[in-house]
Amino acid sequence: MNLSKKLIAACCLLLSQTTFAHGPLAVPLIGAPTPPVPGLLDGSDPIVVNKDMAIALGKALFWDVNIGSDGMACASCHFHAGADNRTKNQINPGTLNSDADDNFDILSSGYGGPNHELYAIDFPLTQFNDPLDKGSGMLYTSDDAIASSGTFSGELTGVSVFSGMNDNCDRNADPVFNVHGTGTRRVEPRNAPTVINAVFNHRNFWDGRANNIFNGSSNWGDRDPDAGVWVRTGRRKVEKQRLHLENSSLASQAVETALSQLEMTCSNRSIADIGRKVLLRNPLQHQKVHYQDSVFGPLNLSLSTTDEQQKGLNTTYKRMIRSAFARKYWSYNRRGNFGAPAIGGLAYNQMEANFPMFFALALQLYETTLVSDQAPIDTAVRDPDTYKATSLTESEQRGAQVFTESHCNLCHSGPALTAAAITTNSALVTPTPDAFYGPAHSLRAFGPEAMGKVPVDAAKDAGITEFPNVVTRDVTRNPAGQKLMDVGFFNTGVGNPDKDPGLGAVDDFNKPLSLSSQYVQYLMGNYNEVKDQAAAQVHSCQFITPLAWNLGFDFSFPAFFTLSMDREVDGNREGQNEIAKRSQDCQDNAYAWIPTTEAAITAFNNPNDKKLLIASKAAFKVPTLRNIELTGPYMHNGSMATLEQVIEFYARGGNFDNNNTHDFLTFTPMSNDPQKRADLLAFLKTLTDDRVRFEKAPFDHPELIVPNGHPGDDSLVSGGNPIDSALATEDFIVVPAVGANGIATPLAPFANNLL
Amino acid sequence: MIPLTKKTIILSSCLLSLSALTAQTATASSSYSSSAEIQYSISASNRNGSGTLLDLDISDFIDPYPGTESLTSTYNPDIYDPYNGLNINHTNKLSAQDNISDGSATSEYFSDFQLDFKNVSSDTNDIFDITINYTYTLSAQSLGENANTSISIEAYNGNDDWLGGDVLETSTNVLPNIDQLIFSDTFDFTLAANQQESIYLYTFISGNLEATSVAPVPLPAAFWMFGSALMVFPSIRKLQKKAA
Repeated sequence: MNLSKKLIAACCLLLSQTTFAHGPLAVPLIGAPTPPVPGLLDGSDPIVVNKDMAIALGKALFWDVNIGSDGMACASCHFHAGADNRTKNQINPGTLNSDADDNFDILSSGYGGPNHELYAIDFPLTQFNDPLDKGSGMLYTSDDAIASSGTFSGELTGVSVFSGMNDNCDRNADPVFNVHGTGTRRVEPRNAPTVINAVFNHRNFWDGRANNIFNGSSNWGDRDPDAGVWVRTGRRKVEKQRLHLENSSLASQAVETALSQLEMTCSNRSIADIGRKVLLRNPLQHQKVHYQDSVFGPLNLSLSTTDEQQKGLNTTYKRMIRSAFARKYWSYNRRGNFGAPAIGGLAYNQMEANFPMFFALALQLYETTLVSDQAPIDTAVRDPDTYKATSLTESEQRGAQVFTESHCNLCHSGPALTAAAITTNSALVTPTPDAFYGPAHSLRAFGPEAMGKVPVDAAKDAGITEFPNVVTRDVTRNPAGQKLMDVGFFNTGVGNPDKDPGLGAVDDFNKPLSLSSQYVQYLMGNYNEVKDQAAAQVHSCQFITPLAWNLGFDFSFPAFFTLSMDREVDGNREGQNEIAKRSQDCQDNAYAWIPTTEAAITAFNNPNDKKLLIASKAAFKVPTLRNIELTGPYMHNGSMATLEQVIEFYARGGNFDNNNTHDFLTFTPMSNDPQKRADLLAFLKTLTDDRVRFEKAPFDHPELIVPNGHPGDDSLVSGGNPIDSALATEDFIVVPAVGANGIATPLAPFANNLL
Repeated sequence: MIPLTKKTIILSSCLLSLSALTAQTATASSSYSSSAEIQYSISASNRNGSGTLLDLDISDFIDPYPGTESLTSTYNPDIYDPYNGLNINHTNKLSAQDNISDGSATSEYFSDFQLDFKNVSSDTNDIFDITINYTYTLSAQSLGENANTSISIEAYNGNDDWLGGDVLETSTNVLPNIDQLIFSDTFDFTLAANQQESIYLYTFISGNLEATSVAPVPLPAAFWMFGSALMVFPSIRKLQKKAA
């Protein structure tokens, strides 16, 4: 690149990329590799020795209402296309906000708060006079979140190891979640995302706090110094060992949610206590299991017949664990090494102490089977050259074009339609001999053109390269600038950025959740502050916009480390091998630089310096768009009920302009074109797998009884719940057991349930 | 070292006890009764054709003890044949039981059995090939309202290598609630002069019980029927809300 071009580029990198359609196509999920988990099932000493039994264990744990303290299962918030379509008692007032808000807003219907049953007119939660024009003025906004009702919670006092769904807890009406002093179920602070295809997410939760590395007992990966699992090392020896399982964010997520006092549990309750409760019980003790269940049936675990559906599996959780997991994790029979319950009682045994690991990994293995790769977008015939889908309807094909020209594809990228699927996206663009994906009639080779023809449809435009970077640098707006970003986490101005901080929050150790923050520590040479090793392995030359830049001449730009004295070759600190690695598959080889530690420290300590700014505040994980037709409401705060409202949101360039908003939230070709918006909607519906719509295998499931608000409304409930008289009586949804052949009536979108 | 030979499991299950199942609703008690019996004999030969077995020292040690006990649980470690010679059958047995009519109870019992072998010969030609023939019988019975019992047996050598083992579990909530597992195999190893080896056989019995002092009321087919309602007519509810 000659000098004049570099100058222009350096000056003008602020220009958005929205001037033309480009970037990866929406591609099939068939044959896309799930991220590998070394050591889980493979190697000389795998943790899991019977994969089928571990999956069965995970399916049981996922659907079992015994896991919660008062009837909540994981599935209770993830039962409808992997998400939650309940509409009553689903409002959180903003308890996660930076200025925690316990006050419920009155929504557009004139009602709100605990036990409110949502109206269609309550949505979206931020409304403009003209929904397509942000400049028309904001009519209404609420910092409430439409999420999922969970537990009554309380303080654990005891539990049976054989029977009784509910734990014994001291329970009272919650000070926030109540109707005139009668307790209602608490509501979690963010919209439950779908579990289907969540295996592809490098991290999980909207704020990424479900670490990619599973440490055996908590969600914090290598950040947690106390985490580990108990391993038997001899006939009388057992010791706690660190666990480091890659690509195991689903396991990290499981151990956190099970301990949520909004979603599932009473306080003073550990996952070892959950183990103590369930180990001797029949899995799914209170729930019917279909005789054709796709997982339990082949293992002969279901007690049901064609004539009669029975409850429970014909085994115990203890037996399933012994069958599924290597014996060194459960065979030590002596107590005394593993701690004891907070409420007192017998010390834990090894199986109870390691129950977090069994629980989490079994759930992960089950959730790994929940991949929906048979949607129209997957099975469509594709042009062998461009790889564009040619057998969709004309409107759907136009919609795919709108998806690209409006730059939806630059965040919702790859086969899972999320940039958060870092490992899989990267694997697809890596040249691999004899590796193909897609439907049999339209296979595509792994490599740089896996997601479309280079240069126009290059995956690289979305930051997808052969190396799975967890950090990138890209352009923000308001004002325009460049900032470091966690790959797959973006601020799109959905909610007031001063409310829910999202990725901008801190972990339990008071360190930033953001991997970009750790990357900055790495740049400054503070290696002890880098707990997630992926943050120290970032390849800067793959940033969408450079951090340090070799222009070929010394000139200082405020947004980049361009002076030769301020930069060093990326990988220089690690050695020649790393330099070679970090100069491959670059956006531009001139980007393969990082600041020196001195330059980084100087920039970091200068409040006016812009080079190391991070766009993590109010950034949230990009969700998959697969099955999006069925997984409303939408966004981290559930603030949009329909895909039409989502499209309007993007057409107007978001809700809340702030200086971390991604540059792509701007006027798009669909903003003033209703036909384009209609076509985009048609395209989004091609992402629905009919097996999800009809709950066919692998999306079949046991019976589930889901709490669904309380008789009455947001101004009247009745006390006298059998769990505790201070709590409101309840309504329930009965989700019948479904076998491999699915259901006759398809699942409906969320909005169909609204008043 | 002792190779881990291929298992040939001989599993014999007792008939399920129908009366025990129906007893859940007729009586209010829970009990378990379990045992682990090991029968073994030791044979040996000296590769030194002119040698004897006099320099093969064999001794045993057994330590049965309770871990956790309830107020009513008991164990019986009394069946024990101290080692007294080659080619002689020996029997060791641990049994445990508990029975309650109300409340909950957990009990755990251990029996650590150890065989020590030592070649004390000063003649390096005296190499002993040793074979331990063994059979273990695990018997487990869970009866009444809520009972679960597990028996485990495992073998280690002097290097702390796991040689094999088994687990048998019965519960009143899984059929069969009475079961037995019988397994036979051999350990083979060789001791050169001044070498020694130990074989550890650990057995463990646990029992968990819960019972209520009155005959338990079966859970209704729909537990949610206590003071709450099924949501079966959402469309009607919608109309009512709009009218208001």
